[in-house]
Amino acid sequence: MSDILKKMREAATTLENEYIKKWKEKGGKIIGYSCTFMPVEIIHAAGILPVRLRGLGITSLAIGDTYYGPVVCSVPKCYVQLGGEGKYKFLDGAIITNGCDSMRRAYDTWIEADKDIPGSLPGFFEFMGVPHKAVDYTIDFYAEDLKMLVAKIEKHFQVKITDEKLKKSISLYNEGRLLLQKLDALRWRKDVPINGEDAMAVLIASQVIPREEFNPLLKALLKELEKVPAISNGKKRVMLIGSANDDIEFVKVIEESGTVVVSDTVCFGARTYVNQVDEKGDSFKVLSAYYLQNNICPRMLGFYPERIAYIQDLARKSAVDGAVLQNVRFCDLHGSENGVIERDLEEIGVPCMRLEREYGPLAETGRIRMRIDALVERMR
Amino acid sequence: MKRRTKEYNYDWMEKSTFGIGATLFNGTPKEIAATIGLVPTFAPVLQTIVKSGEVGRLFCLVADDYMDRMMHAHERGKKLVLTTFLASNLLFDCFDGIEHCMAEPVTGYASLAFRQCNYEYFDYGCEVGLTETSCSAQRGSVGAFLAGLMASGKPDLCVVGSEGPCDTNCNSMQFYADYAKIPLITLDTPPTLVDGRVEDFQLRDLENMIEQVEKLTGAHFNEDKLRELLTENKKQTVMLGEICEMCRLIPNPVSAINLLFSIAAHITHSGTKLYTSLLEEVLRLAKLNAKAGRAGTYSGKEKTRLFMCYIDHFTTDAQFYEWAMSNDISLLVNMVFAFWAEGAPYSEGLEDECYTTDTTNRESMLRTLAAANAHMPMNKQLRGPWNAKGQWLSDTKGLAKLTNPDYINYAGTLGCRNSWSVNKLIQREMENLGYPCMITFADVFDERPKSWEQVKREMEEFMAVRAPGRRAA
Repeated sequence: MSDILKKMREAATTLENEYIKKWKEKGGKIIGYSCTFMPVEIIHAAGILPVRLRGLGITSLAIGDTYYGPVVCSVPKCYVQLGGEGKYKFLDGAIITNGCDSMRRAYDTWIEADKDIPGSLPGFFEFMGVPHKAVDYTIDFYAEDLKMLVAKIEKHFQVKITDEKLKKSISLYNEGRLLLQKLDALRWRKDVPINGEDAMAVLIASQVIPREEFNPLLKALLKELEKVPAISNGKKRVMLIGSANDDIEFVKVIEESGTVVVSDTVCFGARTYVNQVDEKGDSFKVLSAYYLQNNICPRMLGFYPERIAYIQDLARKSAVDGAVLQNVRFCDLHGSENGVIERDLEEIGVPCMRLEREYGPLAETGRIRMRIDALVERMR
Repeated sequence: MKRRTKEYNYDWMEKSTFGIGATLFNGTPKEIAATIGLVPTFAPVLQTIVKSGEVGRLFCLVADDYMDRMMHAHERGKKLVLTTFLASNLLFDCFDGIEHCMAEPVTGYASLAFRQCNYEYFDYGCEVGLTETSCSAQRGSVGAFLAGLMASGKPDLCVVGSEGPCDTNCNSMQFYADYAKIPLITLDTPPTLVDGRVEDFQLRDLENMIEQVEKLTGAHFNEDKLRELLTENKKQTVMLGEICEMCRLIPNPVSAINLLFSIAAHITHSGTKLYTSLLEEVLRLAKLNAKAGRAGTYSGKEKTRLFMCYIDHFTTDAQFYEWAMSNDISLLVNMVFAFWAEGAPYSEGLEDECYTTDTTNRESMLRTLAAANAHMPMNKQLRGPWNAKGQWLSDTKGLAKLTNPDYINYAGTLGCRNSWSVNKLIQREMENLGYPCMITFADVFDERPKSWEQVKREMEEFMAVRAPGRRAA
């Protein structure tokens, strides 16, 4: 395995990874964010490292379950759990968005947990409402909200987020998006040079490594991948669809059944780099427009026709033999949409398998493997 | 789905049940008793409705009228909108040429009146793709639509009136629209309520919705009709405020079932004369009870005051209400009863959280309509952080202070992520304020996770241990 992939995998599988440690050693500040609707360029432009919140390393949900009810998605419960356990001490701030009902309540429950376990909450803790549709007035509304967020960050961290800095951040993140799109193009080739497990590690790493360091790493990796032999010989090509997955082991389980994951639309996956932010125009407005218009998440109600068109197009481009439609238990947005995606993908000849699973350590590997095997049989 | 379940249309059964229920009141006591004897499976709910007298008859008329309008919409050349109870009915009633189906009350009618309940319809939705963890409140009626068991035929479009306060509510509409390949229109709900910018946003969103509904259905937005509806609605909000005030009395003279009828009819019929008649009757009876110092229970005595801090338990045969009224338990108004119109009794000191009705011109009426919709139960209280201004905690505290409960209970559907995410926080806060507060792990539309009998036993045990009757008459 290349050194670059090793670094990416370390970042993808460790909550407080080496990059984060180095950043903190240099006195850098870090803000965690809960969902792909957060324009990370704003945090970056403040000189702060944006890091996607995750639930890695969970062995218990005792703290999360103290504040959350039982029939709730475990992703945000993990944030509260890790916060309560002191594992998010490296965060100087966190921004919770209303990505979904379970997620937005992380704002409430984390604050309450901090009352019982002082110190579990980062010093800067904000809630951001994100509109549920992308039309002219919602884009304007969200742009205004982003301006207010900037004011709060500036005040708390004593920094200045100038338009020039914002534009630089937009440009840097766009560069990263372009590189990630190139990685996708490699994965779509007939001879695939990277397995889905490693590719997922790269995508996750893009959300937890300083972008200044991530871009050169990915650039070098792309060069390496041009030269390595294909790993896809005889393997069935699979697309991974659905809710939050930042567990590369889950992708590994899928691939152990003789498949290679060549494309995805999952949260933590390919959702963060569809298209590019427009580099001209008012920075807040272009960011607002980008994040509202390009996010293939079912929380954006009424945009299924656009989403399925995108997914079908991706299935064709990546020439998949089948698709795994997964959702974390209690994620009704993804779970239900998977029901319709299944119908519409099967219609174009892509066999699908819907899989409801738990977030966190792979306690149900056997069950998942058996179901993937069944899907692979259908692909023949 | 069983073959026998497919033999009758869901909406037709509801219309028939409530239509015939309303005519029952024309009979003599002997005839009524004989009729009830002939339909043993409907006897419990019929008895509860008959015992509620004129209010019960009016409620049957409301349900009959609603199902009739929905069922025959297409025959009458109208378009049918599928939506949820978080959207105010005024949003659609102000159009010429539109009828609506609100998923929750239509599921609720079946929950109250069908012996077989909604189970097969719930499950059918899951068979075709909805998650089994989705909210049951919509899955009954939506399941019937998905199974093609609605005499009304397929809706022409779906409308979500509440993007933000409840994912599962919205999700059921999104799923149906995608599955049936019909358009979906949405109204967004930013997390803050008391904010001029949000008010402007909601107005713009409403204008957009009207434009789209007109374009997609050919229906016409009728300004005069809206004025009439808002004027009548304003009168009704005053009456709802009076009912709320009556609930403050000890003993509470408002019967539990009349509270249910008042709120269920509000969801489908606010702004109509029929609903005004129902509220007048509820108030008349409550005032008679109050004058006589009687509670709204069957015995006229009040042993316990129960505050359901989220929603009631909508069991088969209305057993929850029958249990309360038979056991001298007064049910108090809750979040679902609070519409936050100007002057509402629970708004003292919180006037900025209310909306005002202004019928001066088109813009003022649209602003009123957008605000009324934004203040619908859940749309108001569940849009933002649990303890922010005007949100769930503040409303729960306010209503508890106003109505002085002995005991608070949380009940919801298992699909309600939003409330299940913070109901432990509500419980803790209310306990700290001295109110015994219990979370019922059950689904109020689906008795399979936990039967009503079990829920009842747990509630009785909790009341006996934590909130022994303080006011035995």
